[in-house]
Amino acid sequence: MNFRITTSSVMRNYKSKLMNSYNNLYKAQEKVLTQRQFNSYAEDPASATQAFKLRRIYSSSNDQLKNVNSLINKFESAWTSVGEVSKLVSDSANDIMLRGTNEPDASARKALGQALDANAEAIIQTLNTRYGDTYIFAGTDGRNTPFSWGASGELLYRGINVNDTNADVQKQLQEMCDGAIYVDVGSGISNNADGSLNTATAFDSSISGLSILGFGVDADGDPQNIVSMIKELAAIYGRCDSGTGEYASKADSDAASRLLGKLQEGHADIVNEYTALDGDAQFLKTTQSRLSTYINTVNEQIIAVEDCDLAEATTEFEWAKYCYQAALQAGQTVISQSLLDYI
Amino acid sequence: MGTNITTFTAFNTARLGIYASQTALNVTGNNISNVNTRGYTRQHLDQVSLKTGGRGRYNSIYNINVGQGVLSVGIGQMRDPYLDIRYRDENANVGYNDAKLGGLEELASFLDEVALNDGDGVLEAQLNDFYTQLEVLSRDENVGIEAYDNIVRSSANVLTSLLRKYAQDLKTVKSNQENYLDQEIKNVNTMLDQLAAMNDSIMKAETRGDPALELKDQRNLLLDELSQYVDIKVEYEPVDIGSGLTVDKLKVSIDGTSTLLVDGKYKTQLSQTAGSTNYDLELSGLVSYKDASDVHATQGGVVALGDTTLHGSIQAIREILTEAGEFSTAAAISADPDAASKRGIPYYQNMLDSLARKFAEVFNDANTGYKQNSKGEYLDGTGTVITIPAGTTDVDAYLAGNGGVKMGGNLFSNANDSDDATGITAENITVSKSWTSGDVRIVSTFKTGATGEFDSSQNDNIDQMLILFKGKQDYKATEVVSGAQNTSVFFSGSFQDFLTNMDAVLANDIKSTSALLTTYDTSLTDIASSREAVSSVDLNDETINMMTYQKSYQAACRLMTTVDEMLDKLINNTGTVGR
Repeated sequence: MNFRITTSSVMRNYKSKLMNSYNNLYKAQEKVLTQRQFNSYAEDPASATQAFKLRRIYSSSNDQLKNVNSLINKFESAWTSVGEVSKLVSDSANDIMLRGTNEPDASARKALGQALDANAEAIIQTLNTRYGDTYIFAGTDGRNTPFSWGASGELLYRGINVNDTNADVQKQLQEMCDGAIYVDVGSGISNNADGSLNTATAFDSSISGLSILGFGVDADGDPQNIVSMIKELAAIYGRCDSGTGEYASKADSDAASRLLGKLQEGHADIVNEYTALDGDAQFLKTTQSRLSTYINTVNEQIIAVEDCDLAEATTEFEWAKYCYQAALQAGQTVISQSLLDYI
Repeated sequence: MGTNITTFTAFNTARLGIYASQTALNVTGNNISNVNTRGYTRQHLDQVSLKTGGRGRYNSIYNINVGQGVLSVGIGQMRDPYLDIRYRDENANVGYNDAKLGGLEELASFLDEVALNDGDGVLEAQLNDFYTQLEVLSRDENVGIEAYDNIVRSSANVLTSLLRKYAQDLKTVKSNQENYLDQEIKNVNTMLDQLAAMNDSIMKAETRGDPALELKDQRNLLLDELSQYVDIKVEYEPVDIGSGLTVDKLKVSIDGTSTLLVDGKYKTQLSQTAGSTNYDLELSGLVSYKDASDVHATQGGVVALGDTTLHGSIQAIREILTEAGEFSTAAAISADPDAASKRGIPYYQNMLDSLARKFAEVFNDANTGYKQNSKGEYLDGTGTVITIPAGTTDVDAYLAGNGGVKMGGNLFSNANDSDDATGITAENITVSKSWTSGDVRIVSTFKTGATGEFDSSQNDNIDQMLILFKGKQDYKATEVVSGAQNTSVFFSGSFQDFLTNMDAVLANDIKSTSALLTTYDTSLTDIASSREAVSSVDLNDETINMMTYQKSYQAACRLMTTVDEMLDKLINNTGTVGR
């Protein structure tokens, strides 16, 4: 069909197409300047939604990594402290074997008693160590000193005599050992169906000094707490004759040998705790490495979604510029000419 | 007889030819000078061949009836009325989508967080920060230390002030759109006034025989402009002016209804119904533009306009101001069945209110509770377990009345000098007075430890807050708008999901409106081009016409010269023999 093209319709079409061309140029320029694929939500709603989701994950993963870093420091301190405690316990055991049970060194028994006392003190001081404002071995009560000495020299954990035979007290002490502080380390912290925390999704960061040392009394009536054992041995050797080193009584002598054996068993338990702590620390280190890698991956994903390929953007911009120039030139030839110019 | 040969007829013929060419050249000149006049329709000269000879008394086999020249009978316009109708329909769509896009983009200028703050967004980033500070507080070395609680509180402060700012921004948008609506209504009323006046002038001119082409062009321009505000239907009704003559009267009505906006010299005025909270519009009675006491016969009273009667930019602005999407009340939906899928400022205000309300509610609930032992049994002031009877639905109420030890308190409230958390909206949410003063802190645990006291680094309640923050919440429209028709959950997700959802809804709306606008605009441009193809002046055309009429003028002049010489020969040189 013959369509009548008039001057004003040519002008109108040219104006709107030129504006389109300029618009494209502007968009391409914006991409190059901001290095982003999109600069408003409406340009690409799906990518913008994804970008924000990824950034949330990035932010919370960083939070978890910081938690892990802090925990690693705590557990490494704990590991060092338990190492010291283990050494003190094994030193005590060795001292007892060398100087206590060995007959020729009987005269040194009283001195041994003092040394053992000092060791017990040292162990407690080590277990009262702090990380920042928190007592590392206080379990769930980190603001308060875990171990202390009672009026009669008994060892107290959080104010309770660790050797108390009362069944309710025993339950309390067990509860103290079992207490947990759960921290989010990126295992998807969530609740069970009943609203309680799903403990498999968080890391228990509490360390109870009582678990390491033990508590209560065994069938023989001997304390199961290592420091109590050492204290009792210290008392036994302290009662030995300062000159001959003779035991104060047969009961003392029997107790000394018995306790030494239990001390050596107890030391083995500490080594187990030491290993368990090491295992926790290793888990934290693995988590740290995993989180770091994950954070890098998420970062790359964010870049992939949000950032434009600069080479591609520049090429697009150059092409848009070229198209715009072509449009301007086309305008010069079409618009100004009419028959009037030729008559 | 059938032959009419007169001596000076040819002069007349030539004179008429010169006159016609002269007039045609004038018309061409008029067209050329108006090539850039907006709305100008090209004119052409209507010519008919003149024949004055009557019948002879007898039929003769020698029958030569020659015409006597050309008569210019009138000047007409080249316009296609059908294209005008199509243009105005499309213009209403363009007007609607343009105004809608303008309103939505104004909303986006405040709500769109993409590319802000290095890509982290503003409210998004603050929510992330609040979570981060909670994580920091949850570490066993930080639990219960006031400095860390203060940091969480600072973060909450910034968060609530951001929400308040956004609510204020939306109010600004609303006020701007209200002004815009007022302005648009004024524009429409001015145009209706002008149309009525112009109708009157044109009818009077036509009655006196003047086709009033230029006035008609201006009137068409006004109609085009009006069509973007309101979807109009234009009709021409012939009016008898006596002696069998008719002139056309213009009637403009709202398309799809019989409601008149302009009827000849009668016009109405659009206004907002007084006292309406829904920006209802009404039309005043049709009165003459000159004399308000001259009332129209059939539409003299006020006409209330329904929710979807108008369609054009005015409709779009009204929708931006009133539509609440999922929060629509039953009344709104009965007025407009599509109301639940249209989202304007009220929707976004309600969404922000929902978010603020839910956030405050979740954290206030999480921070208020009753003392329990490590097994989860409630304790009274002496440490004795309180047994909750089986089947008790409101445990809190039972505990309150039976010695339960209440712990914690509201973290967020509706005013910074109180702890009252009722009716929290985005506009009033704030950190509670007690949290600000330190009387209330984030409760790290409600459960006592092995000693019967609270363990100083137990963090299980903070862990719960972390889980709640990232966990799914159910949102119902009735929580914010009590009369909302939709009573089921309209969104289920975390706080940040909710925020992103709101942004995504806005973004998708903008994207689709923008696409629609481009489509309609392209279509409008096509129609405009078609219209111009018919009506607009083309310089090439006019140049050819000019050349044509110049030649015909020359030819007519040459004819006159020829006839003159012939007659000169006849008069002065014939029959001079013997003089």
